[in-house]
Parts: sequence; structure tokens; C-alpha cells
Amino acid sequence: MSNKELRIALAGNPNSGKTTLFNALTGSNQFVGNWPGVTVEKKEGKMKGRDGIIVVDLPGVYSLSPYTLEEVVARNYLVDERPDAILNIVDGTNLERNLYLTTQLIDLGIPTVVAINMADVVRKKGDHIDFDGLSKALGCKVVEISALKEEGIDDAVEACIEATLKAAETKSHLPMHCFSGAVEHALAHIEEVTVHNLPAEQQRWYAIKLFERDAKVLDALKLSDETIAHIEEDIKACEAELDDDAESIIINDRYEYITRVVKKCVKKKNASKLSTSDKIDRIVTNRFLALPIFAVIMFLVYYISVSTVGTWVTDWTNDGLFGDGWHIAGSDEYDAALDSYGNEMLFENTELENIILSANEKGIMGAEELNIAFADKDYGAFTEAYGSYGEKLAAEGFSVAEIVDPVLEGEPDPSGYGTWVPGVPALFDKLLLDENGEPIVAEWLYSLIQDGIVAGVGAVLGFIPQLLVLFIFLAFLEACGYMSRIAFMMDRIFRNFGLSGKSFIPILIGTGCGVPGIMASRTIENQNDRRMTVITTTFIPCSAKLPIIALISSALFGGAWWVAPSAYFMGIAAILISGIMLKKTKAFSGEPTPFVMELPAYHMPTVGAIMRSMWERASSFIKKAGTVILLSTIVIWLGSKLGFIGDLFGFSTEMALEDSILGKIGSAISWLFAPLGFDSIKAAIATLMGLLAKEEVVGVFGVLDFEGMSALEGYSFLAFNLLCAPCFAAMGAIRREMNSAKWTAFAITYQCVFAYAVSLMIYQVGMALSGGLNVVGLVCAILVAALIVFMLVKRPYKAKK
Amino acid sequence: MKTLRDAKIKDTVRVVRVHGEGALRRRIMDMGLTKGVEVYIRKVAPLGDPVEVTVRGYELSLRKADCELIEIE
Amino acid sequence: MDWIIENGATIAVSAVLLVIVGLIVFKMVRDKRKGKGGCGCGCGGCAMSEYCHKKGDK
Repeated sequence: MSNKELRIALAGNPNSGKTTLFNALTGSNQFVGNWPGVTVEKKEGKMKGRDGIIVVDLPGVYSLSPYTLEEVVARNYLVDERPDAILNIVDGTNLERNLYLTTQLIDLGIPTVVAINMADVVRKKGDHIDFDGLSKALGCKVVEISALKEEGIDDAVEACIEATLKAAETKSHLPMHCFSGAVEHALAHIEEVTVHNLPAEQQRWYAIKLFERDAKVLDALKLSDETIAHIEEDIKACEAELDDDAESIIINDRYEYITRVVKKCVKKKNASKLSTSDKIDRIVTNRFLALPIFAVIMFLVYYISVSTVGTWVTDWTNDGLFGDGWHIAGSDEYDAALDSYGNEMLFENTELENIILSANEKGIMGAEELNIAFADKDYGAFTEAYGSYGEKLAAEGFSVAEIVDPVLEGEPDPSGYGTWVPGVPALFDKLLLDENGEPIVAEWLYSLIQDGIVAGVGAVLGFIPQLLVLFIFLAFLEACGYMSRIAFMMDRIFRNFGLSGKSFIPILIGTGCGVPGIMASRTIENQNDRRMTVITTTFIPCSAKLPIIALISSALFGGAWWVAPSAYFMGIAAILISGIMLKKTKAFSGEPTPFVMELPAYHMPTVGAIMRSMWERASSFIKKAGTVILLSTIVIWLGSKLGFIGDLFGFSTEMALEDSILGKIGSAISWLFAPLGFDSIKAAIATLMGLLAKEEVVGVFGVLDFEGMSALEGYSFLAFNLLCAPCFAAMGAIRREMNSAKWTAFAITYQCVFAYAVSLMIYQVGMALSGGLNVVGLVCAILVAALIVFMLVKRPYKAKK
Repeated sequence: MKTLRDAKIKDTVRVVRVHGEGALRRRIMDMGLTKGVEVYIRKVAPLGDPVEVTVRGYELSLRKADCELIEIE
Repeated sequence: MDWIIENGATIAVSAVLLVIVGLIVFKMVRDKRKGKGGCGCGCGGCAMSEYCHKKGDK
């Protein structure tokens, strides 16, 4: 025993604080959320500061008679691998239901220590728990811990080690709780005839399971038919005596025993006034206000993180940190200098004014923006609009490049005003350029570093501030307990088309990342529902899609307030519509999953926990930018610089996109997107690269330069990229959850087709409304819409009886 | 037979028996809805279903359809 | 020889770049082997990561 590693399994009800305790013990950063069932798979970690102890975090379960996958995981581990000790975490605010599991754990015959968590909350309520009495009644050591504050956790582990030593000495530990006489009698009989050859401490658990007619145990023990018939007699006799079935008898007995223990050991102060939790709950799950409140909360989350706070900082990261640079002080001086420079050089030029005016009269895209900026004498807005739309204007024969370009060249140098900090590209320029502004390295290498890597990775990293804000909100909503309430509220809507409110939890997790979202679908018992949830989860915009939303919203909609929240609600609508449509098909028809779910109490999460969750997500985003994204920007750069010059294949830093390999690939698939309004090579490449990682859509525009799309085209592009097949990582997760190539193929095809249909409708209807009617396109869009409506109102498929 | 479904909001009722079979019935009982336990009907979700009840000192949400399985006094 | 001196900067910078790319590839391959996953969208640290990447190894 001494040279072996000691395995301690953490077991307990969902949401009792196991994962928090696990993190405290092992020092690792695990995902902690406040809704039941966050931990789906067991995980192991070495204990911090103590050698030879391995802590295993099991999924939270209510009972050891499992039917959800997470319960199977916990039970199989405890029964088959028999850890050296069980540390049973018990939520002190909810003793009765938590101790129900404890009675089952004790029956396993593994040394068990009960750790009562959140005892401080209990005391605050004025209740009193008698730990010694509880310990005597349960027959195992009971300790008090606070997983959150990391109090008492060392004592708990110490108690586990003691318990294993004690168990090794005495070799027997009969559970203290007993069932009623008739049951104990039957159990004794069953032990005698079936499991007497098993180790003594395991016999009782198997006997109880056999008494309950647990199918899994019956299979595992491979009893002869004769024996089964024999014990069946005992069970039947007992059932007749107590007028109930065996399963209920055991459950009732356990609960009755627990009720007695709790009554004896817990003194409750009768508090009748509403707790804060109740008060909050009253409002946010109010019959009429709940859904509007949810909509407002999600609206605010996206609006604040994308359109307000996030943008202020993102403007700085994009134009400052990853742009030319920024002023710490003296930016006003510089702005004034720029404006007077603009007035002198640009806004008095009547030739320029005439070109822009006539372009505007012809309704050429972007001319209006230029015109407004010109009239306002706003130098910054003018150059920005020129950057976006200059080429479009030139293509229509209204080139202003000859006038504007020399002016841009001669712009006053910002570093001459106030305190100027150069941005990252400027820093690289300092390293790579000599005094004359010529690169000291080969032309291609300079282009690779600046136009490829710095531009591509910088474009992605520039969105980190917005993501940080989003992550803070999500961490707060997860930790405070609101998410479970949303599932509770959503159940009714979801159930109308046969989904459970539980399907909403993966979707909520999916807001962070689709992969764990898809994994979390495992808490859904019904297989059809699980499949449907897996298919629809990635419709919700994950954090990697946020940069796309932010980019389109700021570049094409001027940061309009509604763009980012609309992307989120589009995701929800896509899920609802898909759910309704799929449920009407034969493959998904069936009864809705039962919704039996615990609602955790609200609690104010600690700042530390929120920061940890935010950092965890942000750091993996940054890591991804430094690995996958960086490599793919090199590939994209290479693809856009290698190509055909005339008939010769070769490399040139001046390669036109159309002639490059990338351009060839792009134009080979871009026709597909023509009906959706974004048939440009860049958009096609961006969509394709988005499969690698959704951030890459933004990275592609960083390398290939964002060109002027119309707002409508941009929104259609956004819709397609949000709804179509997720990144490879998420597709891998779908593959694992579906465990079937056929279903995976179906899921991905469905997502792509659905995305295509939505974008088609947005673009074609939008065009028709804005005067660019395309009859064939509109007819197609209307047909698609009609099909969707038909599926929505169609009678559900009913299996013939 | 009177079931939990018939109970009104703010009622406190006592469970007599859980009907049905298999996984769902077991789940309901595992959550503490067993013979003799007192259940307080707290509220109904915004759209009329599910129902939130207090049982054994904690909050549990249940579908109305599942409530029909729970016989009360 | 002259060529090397003339292009010294290019060679040095490309070498640094190659080393960085090499390290990234090495790290990604190692993470994949360790089951940490190349997906990077937070599943390395998430509660389900064990499941996420274990199956392939079994």
C-alpha cells in the first residue's frame, strides 16, 4: 500500500462543488459553472503539494442507478476500478438529497469520507449541523470544508488517508444504516446465494442492486437462470409484504433513513421571509417578463462587448497596436494638424469634389461616404472611406487616386506630435527597414512577415478586447446560476417541438466554444434529442465567430447597435426553426425527454473565479492565434504570392490575386456563393479557411485586404459563416458524439444547406427591397422560405401503432 | 387518483406513490419524490410548463406530464 | 561567400522564422499526442477535455 499511489475519487451531486474542490486540490484550472452536469467525464489530477495522491473528479450524479451517460461513467469507475477512498462532497444547503447518494456510496464498501461543503452558507441562514452526530449516524467521518475558500480541504484528504488505513486494518465496515426488516432479510438471502464469493465489503452493494433488479449488475454477474429465479422469489415475497416494488422500497428506505438522520443532526431556524435568491428568481423567471429579460440580457451582452466597450479598445488594438501606432498624449494636436493638412491639400480641390459629386449622383457604392466626409472636411473619415471604396470608384471610371494618393504620401508624421508609441507593424519596420525605408531582408521575406504574419495574426488578436468583455459576461452568467433558469424557462418552447430545456445548456456553453457545447449534449437522455442538439448547437455564435461579427459590424455597418445582437438571435432562431423542422421528420420524431432538473441557488461569483474563467478562454484564444492562425496566414500568404505570371508558374510579391493559386482555388468555388452575394475570391477563401478555425475568416481579410462589400452582401456573408459547418475541431466533436459517419455527414450537410438557405433569403429579399431585383434569385428564395414554413406547420410524423 | 398535476400553486401536498416505470420513474424518486414526502408547488414557468416545486429543501423543476405520474393525497 | 554576406539579414531572419514555425509545429504535434488537442478553443482547459481527446488513444 505504501509504495502505491493513493486514488481518491470525488463523488457527489451535480453542482455540489466537486470541480471547485478538484481545482483547489490539484491547482489546475478546470471549467467551473453553476448548472448541474458541468463535468461530463471523469478527470484525474495529482494533488498539489503532496506526493502519491491522485484525485479523480467524477461527474456529478444523484444516484448510482444510472441512465444518463455521466452517471454510467461515475458508477463504472467506482464499481470496476474501486478507488482507494471516496471523498463525498455534500452540499450543506441541501443535505437530504445529497445524503441519499451518500448512503449508496457507503454501501459500495469503499472507505468514504463525507465533506460538507458550503457549511458557511448554512450557518448564515441560522441553521446548525451536528457533525459528530452525523458522523456517528452515517458510520463514516464527516468533515466541514469550503471548496471556494479552500478551507478544510487538507483535513478532508487526511481523513480519507486515515479511512483507508483503518479499512485495511479492520477489513470490514458494515454500513450503519439498515433497511426495514423484510428488506434486510431478502438481502441476506441474496448475498448468500449469489455473491458470497466476492470480497466481503462488496457483497452488500451487489446484493442491493440484485434486489433492485438492476439490469447492468445482472448482466455483469452472469448468474444462472436458476439462481435468478431463486432470488426473484425472495424479492417478490418482500414486495408483497411491503406493497411496493423493489426499487421503490430501497429508495424509500434510504430517504426515510436520511430524513431521520437530518432531523436529528440539523437544527433549522425557521426563516419564512424570502431569501435574496427567491427575490431575484421572482423577477427573472416571471411568467411574462422572463423571456423579455433574457432577450435584453443577451442583447446587452453582445451590444456591450461588440459595439461599445469592446470597440473602443479594439479600435486602439487595430489602428494602434497592430496599426501604425498611437498617441499617449498630444493626439489632439495631431488631429488638428491632420485637419488643417486636409483642408489645405484636399478639401479645396474642386476637381476632386466634382468627381465625387458625379460619382455620388450615379449612386456608386462608397461615393456617398466620401461625399459626406468631403462636405464635413473630415480628413480621417475621408481617408478611411477612400481606403475602402477607392478601387470601386476607380473601376467605375471615377478614379481619384491621382489626386488623393500623393496627399496621403505627404501626410504629417504622427510621431512628430505629442508622445507617440509605434504599433507592432511599425516595430517590425524598425527592425526590418534601413534608414532609407528599404527592407534589409529580401523583398519576399519582408512581405511574408509584414503582409502575411503580422497582418493576419494581428487582425485576429485585435479582437481580444471584445472577447475579454464577452468572456466576463459569460463567466458571470454561468457562475451565478442564471443559465439553469434559462433552461427552465426555455423548456416550454423547446418542448413544443419535442426538445428538452436541457438542450439549451449545450447551446449556452456553445456561446464560449462549440466543442464543449457539443460534448455537454451528453446530459440529454433521449438519443434523438441528443442528436438534434448536437446538430443545432453550433448555430450559436461561438467566441471564435465573434471577430467575424465584430469585423462586419464595424467595417460595413459603422458599428451599428443591432448587428452583433442580431447575430446571436439569428443563432437562436436557427436552432428553434431547425428543431421544429427536424422533429417533424421520421428520424427525430418521438416523445420529448423528461425534464427533471435541479435549479441551483443564485450566488454571487467571486471576482477571482470570473477572471480565471475569462483568462482560461482568452489564453487559449491567444494560443490558437499563435499556432493554427499563424501557420495558416503563412499558407495564405504563400498561396497568394505563388501563381501564374503569363504562362509561367512562379513567385512574385506583386502577384495579382486572380493569378495566384489561392485565386484559382477561390474562383473555382466562388460561383457557389454568387446567389448569396459574395462571389469574390477573398470571401470564398475566407469561408473555406473558416473551416480551419472561424477566426481565420478575419485573418484572411488581414492578409488579403478587406475590400468594399455592400452592407447587404456583408450581412449575407456573416449569416453564412455563422451558420455553416463549424471548424474542424467542432466537426470532430460532432463525429465523436454521433459515433456514426452517417449522422456526422448528415449534421454537417444540414448545417451547410441551412446556412445557404438563410443567406440566400437574406440576400435575395434584401436585393429585391433595395431595387436590385433578381427574379430567378427571388423566386428561389421564396421557394426556400415556403419549404421552411411548410415544415414548420406540417403535422409531425407519427409512428403507426 | 389525484396527481401532482392537479395541485395548485402554493399548495403543499404529500406524495403517495410514483407511477410509471423505468428510468423516468427512478429519476423522479432519486430526486427525492418518494412516498410520504411533502411537496410545495412554487411556481409555473413563464409559458405554463414546467413546474417548479420545493422538495426536501431544494428546488426541482418538473414537467406537467411527469407530474401526472406522481400520486398525491 | 559574398552572397551570404549580402543576404545575411535575410538568412538570419528566415532562420529565426523557421525555428518559430518549427517550434509551433512541434508543440502542436506534441499537444495532439498528449491529447491536449489542436482545437485550442478552450477545450484544453475545459471539463470535458478528457473525453474530447482520449478516445482516439484508446
